[in-house]
Amino acid sequence: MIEINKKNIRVWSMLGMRRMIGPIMEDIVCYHDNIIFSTADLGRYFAYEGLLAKYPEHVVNFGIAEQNLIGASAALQKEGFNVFASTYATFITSRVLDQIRVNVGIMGFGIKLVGGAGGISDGNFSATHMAIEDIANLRTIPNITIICPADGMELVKTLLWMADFDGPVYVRLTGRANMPIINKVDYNFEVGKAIVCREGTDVAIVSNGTILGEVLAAAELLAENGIDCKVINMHTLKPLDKEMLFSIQNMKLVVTVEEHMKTGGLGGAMAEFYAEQSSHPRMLLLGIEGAYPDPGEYEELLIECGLKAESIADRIEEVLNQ
Amino acid sequence: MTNLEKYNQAFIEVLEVEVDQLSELKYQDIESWDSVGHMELVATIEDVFDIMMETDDIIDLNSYAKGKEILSSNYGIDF
Repeated sequence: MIEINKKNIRVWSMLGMRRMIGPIMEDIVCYHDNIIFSTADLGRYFAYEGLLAKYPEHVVNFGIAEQNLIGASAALQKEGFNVFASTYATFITSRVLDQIRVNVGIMGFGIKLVGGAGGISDGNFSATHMAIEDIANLRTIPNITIICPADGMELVKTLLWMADFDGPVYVRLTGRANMPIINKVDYNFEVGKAIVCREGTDVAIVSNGTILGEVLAAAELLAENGIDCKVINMHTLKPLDKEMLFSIQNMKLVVTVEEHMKTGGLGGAMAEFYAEQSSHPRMLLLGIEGAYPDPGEYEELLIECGLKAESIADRIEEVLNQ
Repeated sequence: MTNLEKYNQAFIEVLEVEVDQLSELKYQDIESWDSVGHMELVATIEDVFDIMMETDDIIDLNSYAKGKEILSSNYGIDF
């Protein structure tokens, strides 16, 4: 049984999201006979050694063949298994988009898609390993729940929920080892229900994933300049928490921050929602725009893409002063 | 408990070893001291001594003996 306590929260932070997958799956399969962890030769990437050693019957490695990973995972779903198909986020979404479209969107198989290195965290491997259009790609396919956990504890809660859920899910892992701890104590996690991380009255900043660490730091910088920000963790991108979106509709500015192309991700989803309302807030969408970033270390890329706290705060202040 | 006892207990509990294995124990010498075990060991040490270790120290802590050295010189823990 996975214990949520101060020590484990710290361990998960040090490990980073991808290295949590194997150990957490080891616990999950104890209580769920029908779970399969499938991968396209990235078992070690997800620290699956313990899972493979203790529960080999719950692991299938399809080799570097992502389209086959999805097709075969769909077949396993049809036979009654609950499959966690895991590889790089860009491969589990963009590379296999047609297989997802057919097997998940059209045929309705509830595969759980686990995407490591969402955003730019593995940008040292270049743009081929960045997932910055993955949310946009999957949002258009019906019935897929899309979740981007903020930290280790939220990832644990997401995986536990996925183990009991029949439908298709995409869980986007972000950040690296020593990721920020956004949720310091246990809390009630509900898919589709956003969480207020910081109360505020002037500006709402909506985000998800580990980039929330930068967003919270940006809110503190803005507070020093008298701008009071509400920070919201919209961990579920699909379905969006409409009640939360209505609640911030009348704020001076609604900002979205994401490790994703500016187009089609969280910001795009929220803009689509507000476009259909009789009134809508002024919005500022912060994300990656213009071109795929050059290869680089994660911290360098965050700076280059304007996703560090200082840049986020500067842009918000600039827009408010316009 | 003395600091030495607390330190030993962290290794014994997390890595499931006996006290007579400790003095020469190094990272990856045993199955339980892999990368995940290492994080658990560090988190336990942090908890028992109420400290937050720096990343460099976490990486450098590659043996029982080295760990004592690091805790003593960088965190003021006397053994």
